[in-house]
Amino acid sequence: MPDPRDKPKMNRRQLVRTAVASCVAAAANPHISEAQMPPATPVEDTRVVVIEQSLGRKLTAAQRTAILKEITDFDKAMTEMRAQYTVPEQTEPGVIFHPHREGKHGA
Amino acid sequence: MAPDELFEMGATELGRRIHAGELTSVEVTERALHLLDTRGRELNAVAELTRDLAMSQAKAADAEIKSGKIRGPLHGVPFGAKDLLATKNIPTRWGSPAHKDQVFDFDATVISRLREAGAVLVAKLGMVELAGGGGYEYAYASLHGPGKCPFDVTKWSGGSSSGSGSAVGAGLVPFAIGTETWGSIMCPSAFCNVTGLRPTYGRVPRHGAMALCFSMDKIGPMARSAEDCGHILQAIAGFTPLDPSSENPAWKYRSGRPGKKLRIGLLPTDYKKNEAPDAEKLFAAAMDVLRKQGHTITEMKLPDFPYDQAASAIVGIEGASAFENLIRSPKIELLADKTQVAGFLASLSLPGVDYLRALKVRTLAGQATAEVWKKFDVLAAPTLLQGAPDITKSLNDTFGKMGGNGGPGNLLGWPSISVPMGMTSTGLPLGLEFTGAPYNEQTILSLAAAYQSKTEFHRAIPGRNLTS
Repeated sequence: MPDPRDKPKMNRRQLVRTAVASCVAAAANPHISEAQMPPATPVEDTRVVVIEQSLGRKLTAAQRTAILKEITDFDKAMTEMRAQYTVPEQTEPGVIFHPHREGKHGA
Repeated sequence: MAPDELFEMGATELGRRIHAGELTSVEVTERALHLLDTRGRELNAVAELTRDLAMSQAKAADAEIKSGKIRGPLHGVPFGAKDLLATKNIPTRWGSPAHKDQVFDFDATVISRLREAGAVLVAKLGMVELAGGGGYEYAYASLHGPGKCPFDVTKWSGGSSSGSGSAVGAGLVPFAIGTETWGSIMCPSAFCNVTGLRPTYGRVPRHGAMALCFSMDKIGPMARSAEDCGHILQAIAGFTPLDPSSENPAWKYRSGRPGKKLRIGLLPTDYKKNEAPDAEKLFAAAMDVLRKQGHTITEMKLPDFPYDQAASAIVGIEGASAFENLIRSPKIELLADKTQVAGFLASLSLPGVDYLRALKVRTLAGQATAEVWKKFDVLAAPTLLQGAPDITKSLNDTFGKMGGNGGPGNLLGWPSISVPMGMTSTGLPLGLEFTGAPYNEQTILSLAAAYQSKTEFHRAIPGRNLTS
C-alpha cells in the first residue's frame, strides 16, 4: 500500500502553506465545496513529519506507521483522561519531587 | 549442605549462619558465582559477573567477621544488582544495545550503601532495555536476551527487573536490587515467586541509577521474604545530598508482625472478565489467612481519577526528556524492540500541556486519596491475575487479562510489596500485593511477614537438582 505521506511530498512549510491556503479559500468563498479543497493532512501525520524534521533524518515508512500508532494511542489516553476528569482551572501542577508530600502519613 | 538449600534460606538467615561461623562468605559467594555463571546465564539473568570484586569483598567480610566485627544482617551475604545501577569500573549497560560499552567511574549510592553494610556484589543482573521506557512489546527487548521464568523457561520472567526476578526466584542469589517506575519490581516478583518491595517514592536515593522518569522511579529489594526486604531496605534508605528527591530520616526496620489488627481494603478485581479463576481462588485463600489473624477486610474503591492515563503521560514525557539525546541520535535504532524505538520517537511530539495536566491530576488525586489512608491501613489485590506469559508472544496480547493496580500506586508514590500466594493450575507463581500509605513500608512489611509466617509459598524454589 503506498504511503499517503509520499504523495504529494511536502515539507513542513508547504504543509502549513497548504493548510493556510485552504482556510483562506474557505473564508473567501463559504460555498466552496469540500471536493475543491486541498486534501487535509491528518494532524497525527503532520506530527510524524515534524518529528522527522526535528531529527534531521528520514524515517522508514514502517517507522512512520509505528510512530503514528504510538501518537494515536497517546492521544486516545489523553482524551480519556480529559473525559474522565476535568482539572479545575488554575490548579497548580504540584512539585515534581514528593508527589505526596502534602498528604504525608506515617514515619 | 545441598546447593539449593543455600539460597533458599534467604539473606538474613544466610547472614546469621555466616556470622555464627557455620558458613563463610567466600564459600557462599563462590557458590553464587557458579550458579549465576551456569543457571543464571541459561535464564538470561546475568549482565555481568563481578567475580574479582565479589571475592575480594567476601574475603574482607570473612576477616572482619572472624575478628568479631559484624556490620549488620547482610554482612558477607552475596547479592545481585539490576544493571541500571552504576558500579565503578564495571560495565553498566542499562540492558541496552546502545549502551553496551558504558562504564561509570563511580558507584550508585545504593551500591555503596550495601558495600558499607558488608554485602557482596556478585553480579549485575539483566533487565529490559532502558527499563522499557519507550513501551516495549516483546520479552526480547534486552541486550541480555529475554528474561526466562525459572519455573518454566518458555515463560517470561517479567520486567523490567527481569534478571533480579529470575536470579532470586531460581535461588541463585539470596537477594537482588530492582527498580520500578511502573510495575518493574512487582511484575517479575509475581512471575518468579519472589518477595519484592517497591518503597515509597524518595525513600531510597536514586543517585547513580539510570533515570527513566524523575518523578516516579523507585529502587527496592527483591528477596525471599518480607523480613529480608525490611533489612535490605534499612541498609539502602535515607537521604543523600546526591539525590535531592531522597527523604530524611533514615529508616529502621522493626522485625515481626503488625503491632495491631489492620484495616485491609480490597481493591476491585474483575476475575471473570479476565478469566482468572486461579488468582481468585488463591487470593480468597490468602484473605482467609489474614482474617484468621484478626485483620478486618472490606471492599473499597479508590476515588475516581484517570490514574493510568496520568501515569502514562508522565512516564512518556519524562522518559523523552531523560533519553532525549539518544532519541535524537541514530543510536536509538540499536534498541532490540522496534515498538520501543517508535515509542521513544513518538514521545518527542507529546504536548507539554498534557504533561502539566497529568501533574495536576496527580496533585488532586494525592489530596483525594489521603482520605483512603484514614480508613485503611493496607490495600490488597493480586499483584497480577495471570502467571508468566509465553516468552515469544506480544506482551500487548498477553497482558490484556493481567489486571494489576500499578497506575495509582506508582503515580502517587505509594509503597507496595508483592509476596508469593501460590501456583496456578499450570504451575506458575502468582503474587499477592499489599499497598500502604506513603512512608508506611513498615505496615506492609509486617503484614507480609505475618502472612509468610502462616504460609510456605515464598519458600518454593525451582530446579532443586541444580548442577553442583
